[in-house]
Amino acid sequence: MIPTLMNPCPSEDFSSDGRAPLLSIKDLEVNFETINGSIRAVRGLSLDLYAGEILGIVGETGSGKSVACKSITQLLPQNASVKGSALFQGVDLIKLRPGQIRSFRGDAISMIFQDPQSCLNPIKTIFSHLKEVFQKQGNRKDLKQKAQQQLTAMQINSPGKRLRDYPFQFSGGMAQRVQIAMAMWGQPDILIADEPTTALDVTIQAKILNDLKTLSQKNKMAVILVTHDLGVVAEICDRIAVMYHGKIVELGETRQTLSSPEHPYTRALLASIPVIGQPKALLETIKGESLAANMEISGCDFEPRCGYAQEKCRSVAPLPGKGEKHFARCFYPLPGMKKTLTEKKAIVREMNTPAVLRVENLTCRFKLGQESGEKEFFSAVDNVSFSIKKGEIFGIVGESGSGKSTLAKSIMGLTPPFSGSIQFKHQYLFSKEWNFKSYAANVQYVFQDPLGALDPRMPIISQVMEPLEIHGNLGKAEKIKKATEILAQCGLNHSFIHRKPYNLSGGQRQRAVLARALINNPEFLICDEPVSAMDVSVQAQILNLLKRLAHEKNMTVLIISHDLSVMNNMCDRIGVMLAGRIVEQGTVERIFNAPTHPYTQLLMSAIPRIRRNRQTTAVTPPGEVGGIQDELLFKVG
Amino acid sequence: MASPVTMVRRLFAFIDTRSYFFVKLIRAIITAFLILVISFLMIRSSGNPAQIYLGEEAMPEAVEYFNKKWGLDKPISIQFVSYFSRAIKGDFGHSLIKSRPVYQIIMDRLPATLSLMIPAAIISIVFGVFLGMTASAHRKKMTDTGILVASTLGFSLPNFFFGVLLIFFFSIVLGWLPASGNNTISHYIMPLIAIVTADLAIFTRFSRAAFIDIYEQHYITGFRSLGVRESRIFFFQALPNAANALLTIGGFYIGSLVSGAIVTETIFAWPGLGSLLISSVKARDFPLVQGLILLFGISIVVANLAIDFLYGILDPRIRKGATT
Repeated sequence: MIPTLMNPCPSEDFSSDGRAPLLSIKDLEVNFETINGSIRAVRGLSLDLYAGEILGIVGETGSGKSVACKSITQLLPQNASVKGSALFQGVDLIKLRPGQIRSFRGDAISMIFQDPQSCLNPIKTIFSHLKEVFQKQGNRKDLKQKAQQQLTAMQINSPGKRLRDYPFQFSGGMAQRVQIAMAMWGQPDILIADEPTTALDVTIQAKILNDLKTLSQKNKMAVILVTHDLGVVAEICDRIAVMYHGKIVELGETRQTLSSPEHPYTRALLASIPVIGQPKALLETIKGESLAANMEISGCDFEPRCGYAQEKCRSVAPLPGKGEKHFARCFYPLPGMKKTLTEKKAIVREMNTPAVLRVENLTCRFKLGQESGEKEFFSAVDNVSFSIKKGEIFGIVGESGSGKSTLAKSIMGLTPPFSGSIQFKHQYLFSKEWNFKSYAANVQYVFQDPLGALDPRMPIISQVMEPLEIHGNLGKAEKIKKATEILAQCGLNHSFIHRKPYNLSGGQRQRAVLARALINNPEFLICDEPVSAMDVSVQAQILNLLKRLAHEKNMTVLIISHDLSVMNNMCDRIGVMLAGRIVEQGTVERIFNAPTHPYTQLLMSAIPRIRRNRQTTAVTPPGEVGGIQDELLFKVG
Repeated sequence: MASPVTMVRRLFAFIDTRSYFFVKLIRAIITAFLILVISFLMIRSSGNPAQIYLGEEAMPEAVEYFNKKWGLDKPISIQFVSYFSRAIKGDFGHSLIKSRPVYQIIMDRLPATLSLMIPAAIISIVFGVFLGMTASAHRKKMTDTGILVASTLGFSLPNFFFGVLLIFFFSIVLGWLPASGNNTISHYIMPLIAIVTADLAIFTRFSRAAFIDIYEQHYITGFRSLGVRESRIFFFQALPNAANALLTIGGFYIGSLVSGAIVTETIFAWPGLGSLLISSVKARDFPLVQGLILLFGISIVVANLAIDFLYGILDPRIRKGATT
């Protein structure tokens, strides 16, 4: 059984009483010397890690969580200077010379990283990867056999054949298992997993997390899990450390910390996560932006964004904990958070409007190549039908490779379908009468990566004005006025509009992209993973903005995402996509409360969530990693 | 006895027509054929051969005799077929000036060019990669900056200027080295220096960029984090990937070895193919120019085919046709 928030596994007590810590980090400081001055990434971090526990380190981009972990095994670039100590079996790892620390890496402390495929050398076989790690042990006998055993232990089928394969022939989940197999070879005492499942689909994420939990229990291995996802932490971690601006702001047992966070930042983070079961709720947001790593302030780091700050917080910085079981780096720790969670406002609209978009039996095919004279095709979208009503927010949810982006491109008028039809306001797309330019004025697209969607050399305001130049003939002053207005509606005030994309944060960039999409008052907006590259606090701001604008402008919205909690929060109705088909569609309430298709049920059960319901436990999907989709397809037919 | 159609089918079933190597081979053959066609058309469009040979005021009978003798009265398609069949045997006709077969003239000159260019290539590649590696290892430090500045200087110094400078100092002022010819080892020193300064800079810059890129890859950190020795990471992980990146410029470079350093050869009066090209163009010796262009073109095609094959051998993603 996997521990959940209210229903944890009977775990050992990982606290200071009695046992000696396996790894003891004291006053860790990491400085990066750059051309633009020095950046303090980690500012006095102290932490004890005990054998066999899983410790989650949570924080947003730039909070210093990865840097802290890499500094323990001296993996930081040369411009980093590390101070403090990290005692492991009486040895201070930070003071070791490069030749000495090498003998600890892999044997005492192993690491695995995000995006498993890029962590494997693309031109080397899997066997050559494992061999490289075995070589260190000095035992060169029966390498092949041992490598096979290692892969078998990680539940990789036909290991003999797989050893000869190359990384690109592995799915993300399988590649992560290979990485874990490499990391586990030296039977380390500590495994540092840096965002191990961030690049993976939810069903695969559930399996990898389960693997980590099992390995930790079996080998009495301590795991440091670095992640930005509180749901993942709630799923498998015994203790949690929340980091902000290079410091640990709250540390404690997972269940207690997540159910009654004491630090305002932890509380705000939790509140900004969309909760399944509260559709359309406006999310709590944290005001402002995270402090830049090179910013120094005299008081508490979170004070500028904190809703509870008082006079003392402005001048004095709260001190770190001294090994208490639970501690928050705050002068005025908060009691519980139950009240705020239930008080969310929701935007609900009546929906008795005619359909705006009608997709019928849509199939999109790509040519794969020729085999024995017959052309092979891959149907990315396979016989899909649905319709979206005016003013509705419709979601398409699916894992990578399910065809959801191809579907969106087709609706956008960019990929002509192989068969079937798309009808927008009674006009067929790709027909002779259809005019792409006038369609494009009515239908807009928002992409996942706002930096890639913006011209790096053009000021924001000029980019937002561009659609006006294509689709209308206003005077320059009018255009500027209109662009300023829409930017203000998207939350970018006058001080931002002349900046270039590099001088904006991720959330501000997405606001600019949104403003550009909305300036011509489109009737229909397509958002492809609009928030998946963002931290939760920024995500909450963007989701709220999208909801508000859709409501104010009575816009029809199609959202594509792999994130079910986002979908639950945003959509009126959703369609679940699997291998090019929509296997189930219906209202959000129906899909989330009573999913009928086995794949939808599987998806629902695999989401790591901070559960408030006693009865539910996470279900680990059956079968091999990466094989789930195929397996289900086979069943579904 | 199987019909020809089935035999062709069987042959194609035996050779995987979609395999990377097969596709590259077919492409190289097509390119080589196009070079032959273009060089044929080029010479034909540059004027009437009889008039070029016999002069503007030749007697009509002489022109007719000439055309008949060389098959120029036949249709152009027939002419191309006979040109093609002779060209693949290495018969490029006779030089107009030296009245010797073009093939022999080229073969006489080829050793001089190769004896200069092969050492130059080896020195440039070995030292260039070494310097690039060193620079990338000491990124943003004095060593790196020094190597970068020196390579920019070497690259931007024009060969004709640098060569003349060398001759001025070492031959005229100091009198240490001979200024022209290729009789002794000491003849090689100055041309080598002139060529290597420029080529070395290219390899230094490319390998520096390649190593910097590779050492930022996640798999390098991955192996480091598991305690693999730096030397093993370098030889078994970084180097094969760098070789892959360096192959791209290597392809262009190796192909140009045969054509020689045209400018450098001319400056040092080196009896190689580069200076031969210059003199034959000056003398309007069309068959010789045509033969040289064919040789240079085909050698580039062959070099690139070799590089493509090496890509396939070194990179499984290309060999196995990975889409991502």
